[in-house]
Amino acid sequence: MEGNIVAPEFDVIFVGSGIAAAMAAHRLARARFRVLMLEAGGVVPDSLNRLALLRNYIASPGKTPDSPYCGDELDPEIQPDQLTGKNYYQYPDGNKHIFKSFYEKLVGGSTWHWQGIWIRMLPSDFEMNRLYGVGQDWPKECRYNTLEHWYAEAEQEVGVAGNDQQAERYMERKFGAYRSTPFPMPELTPSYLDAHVAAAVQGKVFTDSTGRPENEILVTNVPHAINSQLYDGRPACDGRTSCVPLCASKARYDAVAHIEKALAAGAELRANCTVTRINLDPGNGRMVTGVDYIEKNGTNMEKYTVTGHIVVVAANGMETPRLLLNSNVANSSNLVGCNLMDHPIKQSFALTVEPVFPFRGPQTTSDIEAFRDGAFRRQYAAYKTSIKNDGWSTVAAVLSPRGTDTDNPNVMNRENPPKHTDDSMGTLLNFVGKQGLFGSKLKHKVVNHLTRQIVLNSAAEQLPNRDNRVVLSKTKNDKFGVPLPEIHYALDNDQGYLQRCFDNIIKFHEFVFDQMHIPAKDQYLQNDGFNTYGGSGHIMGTTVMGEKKESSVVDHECKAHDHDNLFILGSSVFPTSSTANPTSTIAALSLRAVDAIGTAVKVQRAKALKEA
Amino acid sequence: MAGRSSKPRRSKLSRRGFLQKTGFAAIAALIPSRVAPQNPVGNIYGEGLPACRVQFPKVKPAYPVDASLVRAFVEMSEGLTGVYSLHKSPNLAAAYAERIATNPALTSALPPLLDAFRQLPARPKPPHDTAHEIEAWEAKIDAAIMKNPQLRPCAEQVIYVWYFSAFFLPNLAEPDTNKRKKIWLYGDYDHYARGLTWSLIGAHAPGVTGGPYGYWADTVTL
Repeated sequence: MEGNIVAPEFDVIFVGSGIAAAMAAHRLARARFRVLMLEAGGVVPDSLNRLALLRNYIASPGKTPDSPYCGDELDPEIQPDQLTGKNYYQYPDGNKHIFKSFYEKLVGGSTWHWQGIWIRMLPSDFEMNRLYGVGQDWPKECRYNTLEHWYAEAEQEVGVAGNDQQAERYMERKFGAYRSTPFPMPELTPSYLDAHVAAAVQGKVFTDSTGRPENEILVTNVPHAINSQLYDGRPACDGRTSCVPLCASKARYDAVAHIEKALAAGAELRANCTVTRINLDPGNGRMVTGVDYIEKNGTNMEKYTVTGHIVVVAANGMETPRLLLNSNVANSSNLVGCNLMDHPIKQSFALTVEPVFPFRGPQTTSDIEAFRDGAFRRQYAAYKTSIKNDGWSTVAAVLSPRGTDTDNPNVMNRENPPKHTDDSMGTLLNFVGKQGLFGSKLKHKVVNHLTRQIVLNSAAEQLPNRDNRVVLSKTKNDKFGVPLPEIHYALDNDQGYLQRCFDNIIKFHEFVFDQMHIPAKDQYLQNDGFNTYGGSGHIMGTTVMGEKKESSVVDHECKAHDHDNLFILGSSVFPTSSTANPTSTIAALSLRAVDAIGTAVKVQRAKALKEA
Repeated sequence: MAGRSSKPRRSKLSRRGFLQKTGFAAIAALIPSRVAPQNPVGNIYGEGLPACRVQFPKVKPAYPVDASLVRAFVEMSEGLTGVYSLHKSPNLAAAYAERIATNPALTSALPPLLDAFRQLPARPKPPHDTAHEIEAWEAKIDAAIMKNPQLRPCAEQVIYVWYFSAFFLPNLAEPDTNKRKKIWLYGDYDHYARGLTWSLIGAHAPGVTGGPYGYWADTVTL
């Protein structure tokens, strides 16, 4: 059935149902607009404290982030492989580095397996080029002071737990990141482990590679979209230490909360519907008319066309450019797919002197943010260091105690090269299989090792670079006939900006461990440059926001420069990555775009009436 | 409706696709009901979707998994794990004994392992359970079992199942027998939540509730 541009079926069609779409869809449906959400993934069983999902997780051998999401409604063939991406991400010959961030195609998107970390960008993050001569500036209309109100609204919507005093005394005074409203909830209680780190490093000064000892270390509470008390009908956290891959208690916010509200307000959701093309009007191609999608029902696949006044693409930093490129839409700048960014991670592991009792509570409760901004950003990337509460299992399924490796090639003991008989793995397999422990010695080893495991996890900003990009594969399509994403990616094409950051991160990890009096023999560092790094799951930059049509894809309200009725929501619009976990900014931008989307609907309605 | 699209073939299955495939290939269980009925804790929803777990074939053991075997299994398990309170969880012990006895890779290894353990002296009991006495006793276990290449593989699986509720075995679903990687094979919710590791370190199995809000700020008394 062809769409009818004079009387479209919906006011707003959302492609995707993650947090970006869910929050905006809710507000628009509440304002009585006719809203449709099209989601490629299925609906996960959500009843009875998500026990079906929990059982899937328990039964899985690897406990990967996607392990709970399995079943008839959840088609594995449309998902990027969580461990390597090799079945989904394509790479050209000679590609330098693997892109290690993935996502989930489900109703609710990747908020099913996020940590709930809710950190705002800093004022300087919006002006990297002006302040430090690197990266790009965000549009003048999209700076911290113009977004602050929307951050605050989003925090009320999702429920954020944070420390107001700390925000004022540290985040505002040091970084200028003021808050106009208090956090909706008191902060998540810091862990026992956090207190040990804080006691060792609080107030100490770390001298970085630039030689300026300007960075006083503070261990600070991490704001989370995790309930510290009953909020919006969801309970306080009961510390299951499994935010990734699953919060079974629903204490952590996920976008399903807003999808349910949107549905209650009259929005429509069509799951298992993969959008394959955005349609343009047959005239000058200035307007979009709707989308084509394929609905999968068991083994049947049916193709449909649906029309709308407005199309909002909110399908994450990988699928959004893929759809735009496949539709040849919004790309007069030739920047769709370019500037692919993540927050590359370096981790270090250690055994503390005294037990710190990890494997308890939310996966992170405190961090060190001293290096999120400073003059050093002229020379190397900023970073943020999380103190992990989940022992050495932070790289889910790869490290102990649930892992499958008996040796750990990815960490280097500060004194000695790793040996399979040493404690570099900390897994039961290593203790029993390699070290031959059993009985009382095994019990002692398990207690002694696992109660002292600590991990520092530092995520770095990555500069935008046109050469890091997503294009359409010329050789492989998905089951719907859409080319798979081909990724061109390197970490070392920034004149050493990230490499110098990694070097400083490792030095900082050593510093923290030394302050904790951890002997060198018990420190394991990823001191190997770009050989070992992690992905944060933060896919940014592929439909960048800007003031000029020729150098960006969307304007400050997330409207495509090329089309008056096409909007793009999500981290793909970020011009720079900063060090903030992107969800807070995604949500703020989505709420801010609602007014512009509503106005655009009214304009399109008036035009349609006039033409009729 | 614009038409029906075709479904392309996929050469490699994703991990979940693989799980679904192996699930359908599983062989039905053939277990005698000689083990005492289990009283699972909170296990009222079964084991989740069959397609979402690795299904392993089960075999009928060539010996009875009865109370006598379970008693011997508990004594041996206490020696191998170093945790001397396993006899207080007889149902869990029976379940683990059954899992081993019905596992095709382990079923024939269990009786000789139990026999070897029976021939060792009993664990020193108070007041003779000094560290020195225990060490001497464990040296005998080491020589008879852990240094024996025929017995050690099964002994390791006994330790793994108690500590993590899982075996670490080659994946029988891999068609190429030379390329079978070892994977963790977990039990149900009850087994998972009761892995020894977690109680020994004062924690909880990931995904299982840890306690009231804020418990993670407290120290732990082990």
